[in-house]
Formats: sequence, structure tokens, C-alpha cells
Amino acid sequence: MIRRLLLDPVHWERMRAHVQSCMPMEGCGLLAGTGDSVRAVFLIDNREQSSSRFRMDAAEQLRAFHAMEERGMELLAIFHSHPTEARAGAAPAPEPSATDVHEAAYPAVHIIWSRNAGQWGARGFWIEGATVTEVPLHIIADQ
Amino acid sequence: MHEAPRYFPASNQVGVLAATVLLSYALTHLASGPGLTLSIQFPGFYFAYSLTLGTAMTLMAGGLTATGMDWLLQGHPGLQGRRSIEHWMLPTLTAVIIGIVLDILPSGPAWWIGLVTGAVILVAVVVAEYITVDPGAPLYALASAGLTALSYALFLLFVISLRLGAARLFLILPAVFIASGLVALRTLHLRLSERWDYPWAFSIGLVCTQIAAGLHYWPLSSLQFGLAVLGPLYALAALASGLSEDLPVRSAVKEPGFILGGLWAAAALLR
Repeated sequence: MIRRLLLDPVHWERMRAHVQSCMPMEGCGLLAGTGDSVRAVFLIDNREQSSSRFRMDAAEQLRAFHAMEERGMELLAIFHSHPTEARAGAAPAPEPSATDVHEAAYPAVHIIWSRNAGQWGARGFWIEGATVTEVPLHIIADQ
Repeated sequence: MHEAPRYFPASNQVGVLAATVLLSYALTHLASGPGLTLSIQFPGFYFAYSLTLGTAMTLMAGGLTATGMDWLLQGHPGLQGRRSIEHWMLPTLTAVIIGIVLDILPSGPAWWIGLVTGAVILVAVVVAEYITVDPGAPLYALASAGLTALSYALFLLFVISLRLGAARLFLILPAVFIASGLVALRTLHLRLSERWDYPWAFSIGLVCTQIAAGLHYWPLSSLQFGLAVLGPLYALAALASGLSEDLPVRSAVKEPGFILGGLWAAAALLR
């Protein structure tokens, strides 16, 4: 289990820009690196083109895995967005949905982006069976 | 005066061989040494392998088993100057796989149970290989069936260990090709009256490697991955021996089809 994830601000911004550009559909992608440090972001097309589901394009996903092999990296996290804005006054809670928990298959951190008052935020989770544990995301410059 | 046929190896020789190999496992468990990471950037892929004392001793256990088998078989009256290499392959693979599994097991009772189980399996393989030197041996059929079953079980353990160890694709592929090719070669040799069938063994190794490559990035558990790769190995080896025995194609595909379906169904249902 990965207990924390270290991200560069550039990685964070790439993910944020991607999920924003996918609006109003869900955006998704992969993060790769070594240990708990992210070294690369792979933006993947959502084949579902839905605002409530995502399914990564298989060819792009395979290309991302091959790029990880090429550079000696491991899959560390899978990210996707919940683009529907939280209701006014509701707490910003980007949390895994029942579908996210049910369909989580890879041993990786699941990062979920969601919007509150127009601002994007993200949290990480480790999902194992029905157990969901939060994984802190640390944004560190020049890691 | 004729020498009476001897179908079993001398127990003291088997004891020395087993003790030497087990000692190398035990030393690995008790001693510790610095690891060495070999990493090379090839065009298109990055190769990294962590060479530890455990890896080195596992390879040594394999070498010791091979030389020990040769020494054991020198005294076999039925060998009559024939080469004995086919009888080293499975014991060597067994010693390497036991070493890999022991390297993964945590210290404590589980490791010692693993060592004892490994010792029993190693001795059983050595004795069975000795018996199969002489097709006229009373226990030949039993030893041959036992070796075949054990070969598949060891292959499954090997693939599960590779997956558990999170080995990279470019390490898994040659390992699966060599192990599946060797298991196919040896089991076909046992079933086809001591005939070597290199084209079938090579093809089976290639198919298993392709399937392992195709499933590498799937979110499968180690057991699911192992069963999914074992299925085609068993099915193709059974098909090859059926066709080589001139069975009609319809009959030859029955057993492999049934086993492949069963193993893949188990892989789909188990986690």
C-alpha cells in the first residue's frame, strides 16, 4: 500500500487542466513514478464520454504502461474527476463513489477531482475491497 | 555375476544432495549481505534487477542440484553411458523455485514450514527422476505421472512468485518462456516414450509468453495470473502428446479443451 503520494506542482496543474478541459465529462489519467514520488502524468481519453462514468481508452492506457516500462516507473495512481458541482453550502468532498469502489482493480492510489464553488480540489484514496483509506497528497516543488 | 537392477537411488547420496541444497537456503535465511541493483536502459525498455544474496544462493542451489543429480545418476545401472541431462532439468527448476518461494516467505513458522515442504518436494523429485531413468522400473508409471503433475504445480508456483515479486514485464517474459518451454519439453519427453519434441516445446513456450505479456497489465491477482498462464501450457502439452500418439484430432482436443476451460474458469472466479 502507498501511504502518501509526493507530487510536483507541474503534475498537479497538468491533472487540474486536464479535468477542466474535459468538462462537463469526467476526465481521467494515470500517474507513474517510483516509491511514493510521482514522475510522470499520462492524460487518457475517457471513452465513456459521460459526466458520471469513465473508461480509459485501452490503446492510450497500454501506451502509458509501455512508457512506464521504458522509463523504469511503476503505476502509482489513477485519477478521474467528478465534474458535477457540489451544492452550495455542501462540504467539498471528492470521495470515491460506490461505482469507484466496486470497479477499483489496480493496486494504486485513486485520486478524485471534484469542484466546489468553481474551484477544483483532489484527494487520494487506497481502495482494497470495500475498504477505503485516505492517502495524503503532498505537493512539493523540486522533489 | 550380474548386478541386480537398482531402481532407487542410494539413500545416503540423496541425503547428501538434499542437505547441501537445504543448507544453502538456510544460510541465505540466516546471513545477510548488501544487494546490488543492475539497471540498464535498453532502447524501448528499462531493465532493472535487484541481485540479492537470496537470488545468488537460489541460483547456487539450482547449480548444486544439477551437479548432485549428475553425481547421483553416475551410479545408475540403467543409464549405460547415456547422457543424463534430461534428469537434471526438473530437479534444478524445483530447487530454483523453492529458493524463490523461500525468498518471498516472511521469517517465522511459515518460512520453516516452507523449507520442510520444499525439502520433501525436492527429495520426491530427485527419487522420481532416478526411477524414470529405467522405463522397466516397477514404479516407472507412478514416478512419471508424479513428475508430470509436479512440473505443472512448480510452474504455477513459479509464475505466482514472479507476479507476487512484482517483476517487470521484460523479466517476466524470458522467465515464463524458459520455464514453460522446459516444463513442456520434460513432460512431453515423459509422455512420448523418451522422445524430445523441441518444436512443440518451443511453440508452447512462445504461446505462454504471449499470454503472459497480454495479461501483464490486467488487474489480476497472482493466483489468477498463474492459472491463466498454466491453462495453455497444460492444454498445449496434452494436445501435442495426443497428436504425437496419432489420436484423432477430435479426441486429442477433448482433454486439453476441458482442462483449459476449467483453469480459465477458476482464474476468472478466484481472486
